[in-house]
Amino acid sequence: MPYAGLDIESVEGYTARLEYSPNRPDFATEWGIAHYLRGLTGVELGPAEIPLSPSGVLVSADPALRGIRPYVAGLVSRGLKLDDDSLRQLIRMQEDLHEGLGRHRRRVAIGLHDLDRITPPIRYVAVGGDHAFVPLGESRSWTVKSILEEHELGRKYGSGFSGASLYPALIDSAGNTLSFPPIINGEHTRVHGGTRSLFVDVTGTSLPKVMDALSVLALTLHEMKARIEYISVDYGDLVLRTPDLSSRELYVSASRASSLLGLDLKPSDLAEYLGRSRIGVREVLRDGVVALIPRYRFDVMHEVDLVEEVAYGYGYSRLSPEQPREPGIGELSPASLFDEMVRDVAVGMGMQEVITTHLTSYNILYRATGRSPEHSIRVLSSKSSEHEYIRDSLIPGLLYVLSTNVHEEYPQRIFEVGVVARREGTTAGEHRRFAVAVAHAKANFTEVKSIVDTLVRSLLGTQPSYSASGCAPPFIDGRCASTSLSGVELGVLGEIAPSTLEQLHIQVPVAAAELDVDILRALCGMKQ
Amino acid sequence: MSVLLGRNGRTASERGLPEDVLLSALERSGGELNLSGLANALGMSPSEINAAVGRLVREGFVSISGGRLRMLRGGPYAPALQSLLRKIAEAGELPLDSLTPEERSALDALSQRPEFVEIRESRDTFVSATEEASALPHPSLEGVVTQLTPEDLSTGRWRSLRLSRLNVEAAVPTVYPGRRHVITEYIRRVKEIFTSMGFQEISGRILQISFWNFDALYTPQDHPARELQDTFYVDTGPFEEPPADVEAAVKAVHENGWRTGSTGWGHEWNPEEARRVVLRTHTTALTVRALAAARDLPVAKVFSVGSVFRNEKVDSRHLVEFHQVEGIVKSPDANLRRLMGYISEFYSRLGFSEMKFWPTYFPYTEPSLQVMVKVGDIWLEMGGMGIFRPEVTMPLGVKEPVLAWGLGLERMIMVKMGVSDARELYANRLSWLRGVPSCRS
Repeated sequence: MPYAGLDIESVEGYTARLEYSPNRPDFATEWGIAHYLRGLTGVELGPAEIPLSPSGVLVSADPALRGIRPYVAGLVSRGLKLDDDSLRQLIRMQEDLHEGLGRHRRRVAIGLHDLDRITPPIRYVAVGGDHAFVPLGESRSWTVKSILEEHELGRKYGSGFSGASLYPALIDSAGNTLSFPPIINGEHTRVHGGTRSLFVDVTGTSLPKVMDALSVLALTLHEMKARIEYISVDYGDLVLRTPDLSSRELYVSASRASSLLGLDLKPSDLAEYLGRSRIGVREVLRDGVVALIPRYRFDVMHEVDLVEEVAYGYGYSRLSPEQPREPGIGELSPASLFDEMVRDVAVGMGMQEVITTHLTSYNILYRATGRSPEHSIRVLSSKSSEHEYIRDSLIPGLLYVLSTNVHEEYPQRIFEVGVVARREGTTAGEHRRFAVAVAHAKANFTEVKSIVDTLVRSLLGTQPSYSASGCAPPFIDGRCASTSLSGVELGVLGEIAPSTLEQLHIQVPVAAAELDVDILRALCGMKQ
Repeated sequence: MSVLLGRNGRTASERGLPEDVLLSALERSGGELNLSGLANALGMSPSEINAAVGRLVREGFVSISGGRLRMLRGGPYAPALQSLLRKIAEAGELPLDSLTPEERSALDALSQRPEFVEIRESRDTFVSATEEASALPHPSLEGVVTQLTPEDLSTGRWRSLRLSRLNVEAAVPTVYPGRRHVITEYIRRVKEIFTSMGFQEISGRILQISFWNFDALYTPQDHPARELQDTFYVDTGPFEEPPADVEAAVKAVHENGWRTGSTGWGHEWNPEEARRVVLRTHTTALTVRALAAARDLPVAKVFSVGSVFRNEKVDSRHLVEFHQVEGIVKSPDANLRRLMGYISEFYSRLGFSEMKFWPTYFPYTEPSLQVMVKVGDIWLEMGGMGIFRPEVTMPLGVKEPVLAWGLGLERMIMVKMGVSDARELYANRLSWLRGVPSCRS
C-alpha cells in the first residue's frame, strides 16, 4: 500500500485505515483503490473502459443562475447494489470532494438522489427566498431563507449567499425539489441502502472542476459494477453531454523520465509502467510515449506527473539510493556563526540556554510585564490566545520560564538567542536578540551589568557605555539602563519590577538584559 | 603542649593591646575622641575597635556619649596580658606547663581574642582506633586537619600537619554548569552534518510575503493550506515586493502554465493575495529565494534549519512552532535516486541506519517521497522531499532539476532523547535541561 501512495494509519483484523493524498480523490473508496492496485500488480493494465449509454434525462440550466452558481452536470447510474457500507463510502467520497476539490462546497457540490423518485426532465433554476421544500432529514417544509438562517448546514455553507435574492435549486417535472445546492438535498429523493438507480448532480462555479468531480464519481460507480448513463444539460446556447470521459494526450520523453528518476528507461518501458499506473498509451515513439490520460486523472498537469506515474508503475520499492556526487563547499551562515559565539560566552558564564516560542500571549508580553504594546504584531485567527502575538522582546519569555521553575534550585541564570519582530511603520521589522535573566536572593543590576560587560568585551574587546535614560518596564525606574557602543544602541538591562515578579509568582529578585545581536555582529565586522 | 603567637598576638606584642593603643590615643588628644574614623586613624579593623571599646566601657576606663569617647581613667589596661604576650614573643614557643597560674589565666583571656595565641600539640600522641571508631565515617583526631590552607603552605606548617583521610564516597554539592538547550545542541549537530556534506547554510526572515511562502511554490491561491485556520497571517503590510519578472512568470504559470508545458491551475491569479504577510509555514520560503539568487550557478547546495509556524491546536504531537531541516540541490544530474542518497547519508550520519522511501504528494514537487526511519521496531515518518516542479523552477529562471527536502527536527530529537510529548521540548523545565545527558545514541 505505501508504495501505491497510500499510508497505512492502522490495521485491525481485516480492516486497514488508509490515508491518501488530496490529489487522488479516486482513492476515497475501496473500489478506486482496488482499481489502481489491479494496475500496479499487473492484473489490469491501462485505464478502465467506462461504456456510456444515454439515460434520456435532461437538465435545463437557468441563465438567471449565471452570476450565482452557473454550472450543473450529472449522470445516471443503474444496476447498483448499494448497501449501508457502500453508501457510507460514497458519502465519504462526496464529503472529501466537497472539502478539497470543492473548496468547502463553494466551488463544487455533489448531490446523490434516488432516480426512481425523480420525474425528469429536471430544471436547475433560480428561486426566491420563499421557495419551500422538505430538506433531507427533516419532516416539515422549510423555506430557502429559513434554511440559510436556521439550519445547521445553511449556516455552515451559506456564507456565499449573503445579500442574494435568488438561489439555485434542482426541481423535477413533478415539482419536487431535489436539492438546494450547495447546502442540502431534498428529503424526497433520499438515497438509502436499497437504492438501485442513482441520479448524481454536480453544481458549481467552475465548469472544469464540476466535470472533474463528476468524472471521479463515474469511475467509482463503474468500479462498483453499475452502468453509467449520460444526461444532457441544456444551457440555452449550448447542450452538454455529461459526464465527459474523454482522455487527454500528453507526451513523456524517455530521457526526461530516465534523468529525473535516475534510471535507464526505454520508451517501451515507459509504456509498460504507465499501463500499470492505469494511464493509457496512444503511441510509442522512438524517444518517448504519447500517453492518454483518463478524465478522472486531472491531477496530471505536466510531463513530470507522468514521470511519477512511470515511477509508480516501475515500483518505488525497487528504487535504491544513489551516492551523491555534486561538489560543494560547506559553510555556516554569518548569522549562525555569530550566534554560536554569543552562546559560547553565555554558556561560559554558567548560564543555561532556554528556547521560548516566537508566538506568545498578550498577557506575558504586555500585561504581566507592564510593557507598551505599541510595536506589537498580532496574528489573525489564532486557535489559542497563548499563541496570538509575535514576541517583540525576549525578556518576557525568560520571565515566564522563571515563573514555571519557581520550585527548582536557585540561583537560576538563563539566556536565549532568538528573533523578535516589531511593528515598524506599516510593516514588520525582525531582529536577532540575546537576552539573559538571573534570579536568586542577591540578583541585582550589578550582576547583569557585569554579564553585559563581559559579553561585549569577550565578543568585541571593548566596554559598552551605560545611560540611565532609555529604559522602561518591566524594569524598575532608576535601577535600569540602556547600553550603547560607539553611539549605537545595543540594548537594555536592569532589575525587574516587583509588581511583575508578583504577577508571575516569582519570589526572588530578578535582573535581566537584552541586546541586539545583529548590531553586535555588525560591530564585529561580520558581513550581514 | 605549647603556645605560639597568632597574627594579632604578634601585632599586640609590639604595639600593645588594642585597648592600650586606644587609651594612649585618648591621652594624646586630651581625653576625648570621635568614634567615627577611629579605626582608620589607629590602623585597626572596625571589629577590633568595637571589641576594644566594649571592654574599656565595661571595665570603666571610658564612656561613650553622642558618638564621642571620653576617658575616665588611664591605662595600662591589662599589664598581665601584655607581659605574657612579650614573653611568648621572645621565646617563640612556650611550653604550657612552664606557665604560672597567673599566666595560665592570662592565656585563657588571650585565647578569647581571635588570632592572638595558638595552642599546639607538640607531644607525640599514639592513638589506635577502636572497632566502633573504625566504623565511623569521619574519624576526628586532634591535630589532624581536613583542609590544607594557603597559610599552611606559605609558612611551611604543612610539614607538621597531618591531613585527614577522606570518605571518597560521601555526597558532594551539585554543580549546574552553563549548558545549551537540547534543541540548539541538536541543530548544531545537524548543521555540522550538512556543512560537512558541502552545503551552504542560509537563514532568513520568519515573516514572509505569501509570494515566497506559497505562490512561488505553485500553491494555488485557493489551496486549503492558505486558509486562516491553517496559516498565521499578520496585520502588517508587505515589507518587500516580489521581483517583477519572477512575479509575471508566476502569475502566468498559475493561470495557464506559462511556457512550462503545464496546464496551470486555470484560474485568475491575484497579486494582492501574494502580498499578504505570513509567518512562514515552511523554510522552503527561504530555499526558493536562494534558488532564485543562484539561477546562474550550475550547481547549488544550500540548507537551513529554522522555525516554521502552523495554526494548530497544540497537543502531544502537534506544535504551533517547530523546526524544519530544509535543503536543496540544484544540479544538471539531479535525480530522485540521488535525492534518496543525500537523505540516506544525512540520517545515517545521525545514527539512523535503516530507512525506507515511500511516494507521497506535495503541490510543488514531482515526484515526491517521504522518508521513514527505523527506531527500535517502529518505522517513523521523518519528512518529505521531491524534485521541484518545472512550474516552480522555470519562473525563477532555473533550468536544472532541483532536489528539495523538508525534514522534521523535533521528531528526531524526541526519538533520540526518549521524549514522547513534543511540548516537553519547549517546556524549559530547568530540572530536565540541567540533568539531561549530552550523550545520546
